[in-house]
Parts: sequence; C-alpha cells; structure tokens
Amino acid sequence: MNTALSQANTLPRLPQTALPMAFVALAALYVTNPHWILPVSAVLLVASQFSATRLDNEAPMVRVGRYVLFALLGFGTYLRFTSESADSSDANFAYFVGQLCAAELAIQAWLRRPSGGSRLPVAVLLSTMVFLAASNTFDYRFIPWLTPLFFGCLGMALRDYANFDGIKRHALMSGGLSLLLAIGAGAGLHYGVYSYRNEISQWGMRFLEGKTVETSGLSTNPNLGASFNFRGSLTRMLRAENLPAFSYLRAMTFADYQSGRWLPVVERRQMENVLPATLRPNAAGKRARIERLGGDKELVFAPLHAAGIDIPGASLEWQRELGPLRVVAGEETAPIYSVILDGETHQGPLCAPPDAAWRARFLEVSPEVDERIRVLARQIVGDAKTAREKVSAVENYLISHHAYSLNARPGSGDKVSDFLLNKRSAHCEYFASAAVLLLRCVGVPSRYAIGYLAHEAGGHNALVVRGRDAHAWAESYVEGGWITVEATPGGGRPEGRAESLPLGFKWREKLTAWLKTAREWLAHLRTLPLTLWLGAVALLFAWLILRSWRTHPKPTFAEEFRYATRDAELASIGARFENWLAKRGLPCPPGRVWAAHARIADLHAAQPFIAAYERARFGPPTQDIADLKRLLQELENRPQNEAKP
Amino acid sequence: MSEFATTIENLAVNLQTVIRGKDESIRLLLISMLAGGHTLLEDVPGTGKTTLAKSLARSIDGTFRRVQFTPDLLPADITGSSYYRPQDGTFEFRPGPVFTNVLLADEINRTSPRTQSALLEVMSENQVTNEGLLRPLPQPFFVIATQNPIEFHGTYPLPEAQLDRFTMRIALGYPDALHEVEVIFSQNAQHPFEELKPVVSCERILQLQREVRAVHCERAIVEYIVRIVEHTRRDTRLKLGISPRGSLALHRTAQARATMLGRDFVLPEDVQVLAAPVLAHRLALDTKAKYAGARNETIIEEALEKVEVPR
Repeated sequence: MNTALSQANTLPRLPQTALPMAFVALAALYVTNPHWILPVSAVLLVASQFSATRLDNEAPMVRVGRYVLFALLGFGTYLRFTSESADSSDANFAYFVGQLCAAELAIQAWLRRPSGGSRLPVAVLLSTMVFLAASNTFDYRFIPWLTPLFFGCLGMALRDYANFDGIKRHALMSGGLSLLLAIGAGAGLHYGVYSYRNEISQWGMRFLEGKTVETSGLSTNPNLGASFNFRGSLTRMLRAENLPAFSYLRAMTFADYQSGRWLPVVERRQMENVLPATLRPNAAGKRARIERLGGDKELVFAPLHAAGIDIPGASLEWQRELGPLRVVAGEETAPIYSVILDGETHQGPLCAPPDAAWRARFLEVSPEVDERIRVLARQIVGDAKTAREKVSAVENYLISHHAYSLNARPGSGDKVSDFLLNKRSAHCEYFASAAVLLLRCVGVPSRYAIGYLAHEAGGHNALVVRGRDAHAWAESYVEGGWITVEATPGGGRPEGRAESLPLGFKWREKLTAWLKTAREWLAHLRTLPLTLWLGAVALLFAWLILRSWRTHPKPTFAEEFRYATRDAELASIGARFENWLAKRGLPCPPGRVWAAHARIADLHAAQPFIAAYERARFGPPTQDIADLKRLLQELENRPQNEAKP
Repeated sequence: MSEFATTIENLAVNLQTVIRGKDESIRLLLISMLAGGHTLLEDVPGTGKTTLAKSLARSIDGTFRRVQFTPDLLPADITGSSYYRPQDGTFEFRPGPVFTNVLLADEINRTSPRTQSALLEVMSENQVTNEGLLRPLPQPFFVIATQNPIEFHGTYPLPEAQLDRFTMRIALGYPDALHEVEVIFSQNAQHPFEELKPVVSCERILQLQREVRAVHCERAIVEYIVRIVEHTRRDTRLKLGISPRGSLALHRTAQARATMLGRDFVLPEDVQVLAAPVLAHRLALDTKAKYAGARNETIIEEALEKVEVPR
C-alpha cells in the first residue's frame, strides 16, 4: 500500500453516509431560513473531510470561537424578533435552535475525538436537531419531500454505524427504532396540540367558566388593532351549497370612522322588524342553501346580490341601511336558510340606496384623518373620471403598495393615516378602512363591511366557512348600486400564508356530521323499529362471538401433539415421585429420563422404584402396581438426609 | 439371561477378541444389524473399521463379499450385469458382489456418486433390478461401509439420499492406552482375526430380527421419537431435518437395544442413547450454522434436552 493511500485512510473523516444527512438537514432549514451560517456549516463540513487538522475541544480558539458564533446568531435572532416584518416568535426560535445546531455540527467535525470513537452519533444528533427545527417552522412546502430524503440518509448512516467497530447491530437497531419512535411521538404530540390549540383553549375556558366560548372570528365592533382574528379558529361557521366559489357573505356594514373604530356599534342600532315578504322569499333564481353551524347563530349572512332570502318560520329584524339582518333574539329557528341568487340584477337586503343624509355620512372623512390622505387619494385616482375607475385605482394602489400581515404594528396618530403614509403591512381591517377613507376623499360614497369570504371547498358544490375566514372589506355606491371593494392583497390570503388544515381534520368533521345525522335519525325512530334494530345488532354480535369461539387459534406443535395420556393411577404416582424429587431440591429437567437423573444426582435409593415404574409405564400392560406403590411409599418414608447415600 | 441375549453376548465376545476396548461401538453395530439396517463406520485411518467389519462378517456363518470402492468402479461392478453367451446366443446374468449376506463397502467415499447410486436400491429395498427383472438379495443382507471423514482429496462426499439409507453411523475412535497395549501384544504372533470362527447362523440372525420386531413399544415412546424428529425439522440451522426413514430406524434400533439388554419393552432411555448414532448423519446443516461451528451431534443433543421425555 502506498503512503498516500494509507494517509487518506487515517484522515479523521465523518462516515460518508453522515454527510448527505447533514446536507439534507441544512438544506431543509435553508429553504425557510436562508441564514449565512447554513452554507458556512456545509462548507466547513466538506472541508473537514479533506484535512487531517483537528482542534481540541478545550482549546481557547475553539471556546472563544464557539461563544462568538453563538452570540452572533443570538444577536441576529434578537434583531429579527424586534424587526418590523417579523415572523411569528416560535418560528424565530426554531430558526435559532437550528442555526445553533448547524454551527455546532461544523465545529464538531473539526474537533479531535478524545476516545478516537466514531463521530457519527454526534453528527446524527445535530443533523436531526437541525431538521426538526426546519420542520418546526411554519413553511411546510418542502418538508414533504425533504423528510423521506432525510430519513433515508439517516437510515443509511445508522446502517453504516451498525457495521462499524463491531457495535452490536441489534442493540443499535432497537436503539435507533426507539429514537425514531420517540421523535415521531413527540412530533405527533406537538402537531396534535398545535393543530387543536383552539379547541384545547375552548375546553379550558369551558372548564373554567362553565360556558361555551364561540369564536366567530367576526369583529362586530371593529377597532383597528395589532392583530386581526389571529390564527383564526378552524371551527366551522357556515356551510353553503350552490354559492359561487369566491363569495363575500356580508353580516353588517359600518358608516362612521372615528379614532380607529367603526361605528355605530351593533348594540346601539335601531332595529326594526322585517316582514318575511320584504325579503322576497319566493323570488326566481338559483337557490343557495346555507347552514349555520357555529358562531352567532342569529346573524343572517348573504352575498351582495341576494335577490331574496328564505328563512322559514323566523321572525327577523334589521337596521335597514347598515344591517345586520338577524333573527329576533331568543327565538329558535331552523339552522338552514336559502339565498336566492339572480345574477347581478337585484341587490339584496342592506343595499338600500342612500338618501341624502346617508350619502353625507358615507362621504364623511373625520377631521382626525391626516390631510395628506386627501392629497394621496387624488394622486391615486389621478385622472379617473367615473366612480368605478376610482374604485379600481384605489384597489390597485392598496394591493400593490402594501404588504399583508396578520400582525399590524401601528405607529402614532390616526391608524389609517399612519398605515397609508408609512406604507405599513397590516391586515384586512386596515386595507378596508383605508379603501373606504380614500374613496370618500374622492367623492365615492363608501362604507366598511364585515362578514366571511367563503372560498374553502367542502364537498360537492359546497363551501365551508370557518372562523378564520372572517374578513373586512369596503363597499361603494356606484352607478345606483353597491359594489364590493376588495383592497386586501389576495383577499387576505396571500400564497403560502394560509395554513393547511391539520391532518384528519376534515375526517373528524365528517364523522361529527355523520354522528349528528345518526342522532337525528335515532330521535325519529319509534320503539318497535328501534328494538328490531338493536335486536339485529345484538344477534350480529352474538354470531361474531360464537364464530370466534368456534375458530380458536391454531395450536402449536407441542399443544397439538400431546403425549398419550397414561393411566390415572400411574400419573398420580409419577407426580408423587416428582414431588419427592422437588422436595430434595433435585427436580428432573424435562429432557432427562429419571434413571439418568438418579445416577447424576446420586439418588441410588430411587433406582428400584424408577425401574418398577418404567416397567409399569412402558412395559406390556399389567394390572399389578401394588409393588410400585410400596416402593414409592418406602422412598417417601425415608428421612430427607438419608435419601442421598 | 434369555436365549437372545446369550447369542448376542457370544457375538460381542467374539468381536471383542479382535477389536479391543470398543465395546460400545461393537454393541451399536450389533444393534444396527439386529434392526436389519446398514452401518457406516466413519473414522480416521487405522482405528479398525475394516477389521471390525470383516470380523462381524466372519462371525456370521454366511457369505461375505468385499468391494473396494475405487474411483474407476462402475454401477455394474456392484450390481452385476448380463454377459453374452456365444455358444447358445443368449445373455446370462452374472450377479455382482452385492448378492451376499454381508457386504463390506470399503472406503465408500472414494467412488463417484454415479457408482454410489447403484447402492440406493440395494440398500433400501434389498433387491437389484437388471434388464427389467427384480433379483432379490439373499437374506439377511447387511452393508457395512467404511469411510474416512478427514481426507478430502480424491473423495466424494456421500449424497444425502445415500447417507439416509444407513441406519447408523458409528465412530470408533482411538482405543485407550491400556487397550492399545493389548492390541499390540495380541497381534504379535498372529492377527486374532485369523482364528475367528462363526458363532451364529444366518437363520439365527433372521430369527433374532423377527424377535426384535415383537418388542413392546408404548405409544408415548413413538410419540417421543416423532417429537425429536419434528424438533429437528423446525430447527432453522438445518437445511434438512430427519426423514420418516430416520424415525423408523430410531424405533427399530430402540427395540433392538431393549432386546439386547434383556428387556421386552422400549424405554425412553433407549431412544436417547441411540438418537445421536441413528439421527446425526441424516441432518444437513445450513452453511451459516456450519461455519458458526454447529455439529450434527450437538444439534441432536440439544433436541434431546429440549424435547420433553414421556414419564
């Protein structure tokens, strides 16, 4: 062997399989968090494979270097925590842990192992930590294909390790398996708790306060704040059939903007009763069926162009211009109502044309709003002539100049002015308010509307509305009708920002619906059919039990093939002799004949009995076993210490 | 002492004058013969395999033929073949050496498997088929084969089918020092073999074999045999467990041992003592187990330890 080759073999390398694993982990973190430490770690890892230089863990250079590196990473994380466009704090923490582990991975590759053992366990541990950090961030796009890759590499590395240094493969495999199981269980637990955090907090609330807390997600008292409907609940509010795929389901509108709030509050509105005929329940057109599942059950949601609303058997009330339309408090109604859709020819409830007084209210810009907003509004609109052109100019401006964020960070002064002038990122309430005020500045009567943006498909031709679909938008009175003004980027759901539903969530909902149906069906059953059904189920169970009782499991060879039974008297004598042996502390092993056992254990006194027993047991059939009994009796009568001559 | 035991004792004593200090092996050989089976004597050279076989043949008043299994031997050299008779234009069958009472197949593993296969029918069915005619062998028919397990060059390992046809495989082993001294002195003037006289007739052997079959064997003993055999069939270290031929042989030899010890019934101990010589050579070890150091005899011993004895 030449010296170069032997030199290469003595390089303190990581096992070849550990490298791809580490790279996959670093790449996984890099796609969500492109931090400089990750490529640096990768380069250092590769470099360590070609160098024989290794540092001592205790060396000052290593110590200081490590602290400086960690401090740098910590400072960077601190900066991002406090910066404007911050991700959620848990994601930042996960990034930080991942970066620390990546740095340590590179450092470990350059350290001298005091025992000269394998570096693989450390590499596996740190790579797994990096990977876990990557999968803990909220960007799941790459995880589905990076995960199998990582676990493939991990498996290869562990296999490599098993062939290494004569380590016991079984111990390692079982250790690795339990490690994977523990990781899986931990991840599953985390995922479960995280996915159902709303439900869990609701259980907690119910437990503490003894009442159900429904989070409809609608802010019926809009107050521009830091967060809107933060990580909205997944509770289903509505289920709608036959609605267009992107429907704005309105609940109510607001006319007056005052110090960051929209007024009048619902409680102060003058409600008047509505005759069902006013809502034109028999109008012609496509009927959309809406089922109320949760939230404020008295509120009636309808799209802008609802030609009619059919709520059987309900007495309703509304505030005619602004809404809401709702079932009179305290009344029970069927949870299902129909909305008649008739193209765009008719406008539904809450769409009354404003009279002069209302028109003035829909054009009022409160004095607290910065004067520069009027200038900005005119700039935005430019030379647009018609109201419709002005509306699209404002929509386009807001969508293209502001970013969406669930966490708004309002500055000082009027919130909408601050939002517009400082080009901040914020949520839909800000966009809607800004659109209303900008349009009012250029003379388009506008108001602020809240409701749900129904967009999630929920089965055939149906939409599901969850608490997190709550939305706010603007409405403008244009050419004799109200139109929806959507100024929020992506309707508040920019790509990649919407979380996918937790695993199995839809199935759970389906199951709940099925159970509900079953319960209703059972409630309608009369006694006789119920008895029949229960009887049938009981019979089925009885049959199943009988069947399983009859087909017992296949016996093993030893169970199936028992020795032919010996004579009962002989068997009892045999048992007595075995008892005699056991009393002397010399039980006979199952694979040894008694005669041989007596020889080995020096029990010569027992030999006459054994010979007689064997003749009676295996010899040609005889009736006389009196002699045998006598011999056994003599044996049993001997004092214990005399048995061994 | 019964008449049976006396006859066997005479035979044993006769053999002991030639083969010293190998009482155990001699008795196993006699058990094999009484059970109507064939025996494979396997040991290193010079331990008296051939001498023992020749002595047994001479002790029986029957015909004895010896075949030296050389590599150029052909099947017809063993079974016999038909020769053309020019004087009357017919074929005449000339019986091979297998037409005898005791056949000594010396160094059996030195001939090719082709020739060894000629023995398959002979050993299991006591007959020769030649040109469509069944030619039964004289009774009793008893093959004693010898082979040297150590030597590798110029030998052919016996095929499993052939091994299975031997009722027992007996290893002689070196005599102990005292007996070896005796052996040297006894052969000083003349080989004791030369003075050996037949002590038992062929008819007597056949009669003894019939008596063996009459020995009582309790059902539990047969079940014990089947359990041992089944245990080897389930052993993962084995390519091949024990065949039903093996359990039959164990049963018959256990009967023979019981008779030889003057009993008229079989004990589990008979089965245990005979299990290794009767069963071990029938096992085919897995290559992995072979290199892990497993031996056929150890596997049988383990099976005996694990399988519950009937009581």
